[in-house]
Amino acid sequence: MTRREWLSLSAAAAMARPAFSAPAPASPVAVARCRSYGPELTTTLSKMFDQIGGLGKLVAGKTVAMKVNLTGGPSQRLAHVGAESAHWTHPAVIAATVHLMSKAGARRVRILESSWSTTEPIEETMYAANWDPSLILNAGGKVEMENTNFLGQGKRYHKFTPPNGGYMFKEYLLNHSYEDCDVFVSCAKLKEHITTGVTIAMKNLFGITPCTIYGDGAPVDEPSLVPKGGRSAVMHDGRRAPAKIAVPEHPGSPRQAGARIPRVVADLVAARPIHLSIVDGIETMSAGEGPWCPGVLPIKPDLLIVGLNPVCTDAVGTALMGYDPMADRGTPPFQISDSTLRLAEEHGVGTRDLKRIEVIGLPISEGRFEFAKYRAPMPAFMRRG
Amino acid sequence: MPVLLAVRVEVSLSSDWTPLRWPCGPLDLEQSKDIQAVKEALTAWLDPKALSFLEGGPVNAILVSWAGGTATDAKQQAALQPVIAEAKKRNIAVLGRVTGEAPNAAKAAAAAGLSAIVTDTVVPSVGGLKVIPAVTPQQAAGIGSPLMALTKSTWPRIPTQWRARDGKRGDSGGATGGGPTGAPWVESSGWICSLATAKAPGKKFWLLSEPPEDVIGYRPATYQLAVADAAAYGAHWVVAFDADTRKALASGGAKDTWKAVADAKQFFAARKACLQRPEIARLGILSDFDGPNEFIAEEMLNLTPRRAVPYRIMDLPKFKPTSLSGLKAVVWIDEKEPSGSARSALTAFVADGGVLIAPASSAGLVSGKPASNFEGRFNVYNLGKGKVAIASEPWSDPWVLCADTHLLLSRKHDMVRTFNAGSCNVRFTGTPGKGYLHVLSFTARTFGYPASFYVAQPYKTARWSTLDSVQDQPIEIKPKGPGVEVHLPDFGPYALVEFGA
Repeated sequence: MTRREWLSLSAAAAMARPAFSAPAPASPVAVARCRSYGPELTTTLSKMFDQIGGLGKLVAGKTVAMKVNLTGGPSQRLAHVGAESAHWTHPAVIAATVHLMSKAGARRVRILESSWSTTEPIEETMYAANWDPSLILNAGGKVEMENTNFLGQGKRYHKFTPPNGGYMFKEYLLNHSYEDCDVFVSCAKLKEHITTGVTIAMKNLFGITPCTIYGDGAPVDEPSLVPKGGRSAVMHDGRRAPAKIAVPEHPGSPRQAGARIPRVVADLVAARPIHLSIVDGIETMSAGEGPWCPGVLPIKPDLLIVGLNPVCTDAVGTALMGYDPMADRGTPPFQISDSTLRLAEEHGVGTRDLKRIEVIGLPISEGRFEFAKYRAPMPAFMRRG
Repeated sequence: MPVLLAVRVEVSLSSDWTPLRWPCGPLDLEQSKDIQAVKEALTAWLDPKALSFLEGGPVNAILVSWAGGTATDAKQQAALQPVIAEAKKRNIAVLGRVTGEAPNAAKAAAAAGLSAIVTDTVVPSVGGLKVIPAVTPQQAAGIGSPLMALTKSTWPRIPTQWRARDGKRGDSGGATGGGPTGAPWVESSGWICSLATAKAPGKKFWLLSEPPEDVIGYRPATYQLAVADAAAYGAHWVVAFDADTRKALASGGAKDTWKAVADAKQFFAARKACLQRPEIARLGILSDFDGPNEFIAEEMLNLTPRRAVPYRIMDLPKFKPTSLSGLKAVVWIDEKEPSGSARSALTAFVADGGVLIAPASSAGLVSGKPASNFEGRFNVYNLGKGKVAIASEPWSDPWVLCADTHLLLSRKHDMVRTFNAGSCNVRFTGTPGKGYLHVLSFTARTFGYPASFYVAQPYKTARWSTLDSVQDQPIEIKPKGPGVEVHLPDFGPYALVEFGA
């Protein structure tokens, strides 16, 4: 660690908000073996929803907003592997969930994602990935999609405020879709993350921040109409402030991505609570969150995870990936980052302590899939030195 | 540049020439940049012995600079005599490039024993000397010659990947910025070849693109890409080397480059039939491609491939209602509202479910209130089973128009989708039951991320070939929705996938 990094981390520690005194809530998490995206998927998911208390009482008569993970551009693949089998939530998981929610009485299901650097509708992003969005749109009653990387169909951005002033920002401005819903769902992929160690239900929310405000190409003052680029400059590295329509981050906040991203994510899951987490770990990838990461490989853990509390769900997911959810900076998978799980726990969102989490269905010991065992040799052009 | 208008060329031109640009002599020295390596190369190729590397290769004609309409022309023509004599001995045709006003150039060429001149000025034919008009695609429409050379061309590349001779990255002063397309900025002459063919169907075109002299880093695959950038679009690149390569060739070096070019030329020569197939497209671009419409129309042709959208070029003077067959959307580019048979055909096309995209000046095509608005840039009207999208403002940014067109058509109707192929352009052609996917990789190197391609046709078989080592090998196809995917192993500058039913 460089002196600069140490100083920035010290500053972060000094500005860390006081933790909740009450223990963070715990909630059961369902785990299941599912070996394909075929018919067994819907029956497995249905059973899992029942195991955590049933979908009906959560979604009946409600508008459900479901953030899916379609990170990166639609034409990027891990070698020849389709995005759905590597780094994107599989469309069959989305469609099965939509179907079950509609069956459980959901009034409307809205599929949300901030498509990479564009205002194009999500349906177009899906087509570009060689998906057929009609399979999702026709899976339930009223199903809509909205790209939340900009103002979208809303008239203004909506404020979301994390507890205790937030780790990084006092408030976040988001697309209306995150406000205009009764139930919020994170429908994520079970993946490692090159910076934050893991990306499961919580890290999925990093993508709800609109790049018209928090993106590399955001103007200094007002939001742009069209998002340009990713979130490196503002969110990852703190090289610049968001558009001035948003409040700037706290003075003295850390400069290192491994400290910043987990804090932003913890803030977001506290400010925009997740009511249901669904994690696609049937087919996924190792060594990173997308094909652009070095050493990635397609893997097949054959797992599904469902939970009502995103910290508990991610704790179980982390354990299933072969890591200790109680680990923190310096210990895998958090070699270069703070633990998003701990930070969210300290925000009072939920516990990461497996001793307090009831795992229903497949025991962790039987489902564990050691992600760290799967590393591809880096191609020559990626090696340095 | 003087405009060449309807030159009557009655001679039958040899279609068998495979020419190589042969810069040398005082005229080229006068016109060249002040770069030492360039000057050395121009001097080296004035030596007739330099021709020896052509022995046994595919090139059977050299294109020398003959006249530029300056006082140096006579010196140039005199200096070339030994090269011309040696070429004759080797049974290599000598062709002369004429630029500028040079009324005596043809006579001098005939007297010197040249076989043809390639000229962008009006030059009367003399004796047995053949005249090859050098034209823009627009000019090609009115010329009777069966063979023309395209002057409007660009060197195929991703500019920012090149290193200037002064050591800066990119040859535009070290700029690192990408293009407006988000994907790497690609320069290609493919669309120019396609437009020329649309303007003058059935004619043969040479592409006169030359490697920029102020950059370094040319590789054998760079030249293979140049061959492919013309051949995949039905044209023929007049081989031209950079100064360092020319110097090396003159002294018996650069054998790998020479072989690479020869192999590439041979590759395409063996596949003439498949290179003449029409585009399989769902988008039509309809324009006269001239005058006030030229910029937007040409940039649409140039930029649309960056979204991997195949298109059919429809030249308005040749437009027939049958040209719309199989299309889902048409962009009417021209400022003037469609009229006559074009208007009737477009109206019927929309009524039958097509999408017509037209500029603000074509608002007279519709009446009443729009059914919807697209991104604030188009008012969309329902008409019969289809839609008419009228731009809210005059078009100014062709890339935005490309993107809007793609979305108004919808990716649902994509004929091609590409994966890990951001630096590639594709051309998809064929006949019923047979498809040809030409993939040009502008990095001109293998890059470690193998690419996949989807085509929206239910093919049953696929074979692929490259300029590297793959020759007509079967490759697995994977059914996907209404079409198929092929997953290609890594390849260099070009790959051809041939699909069968």
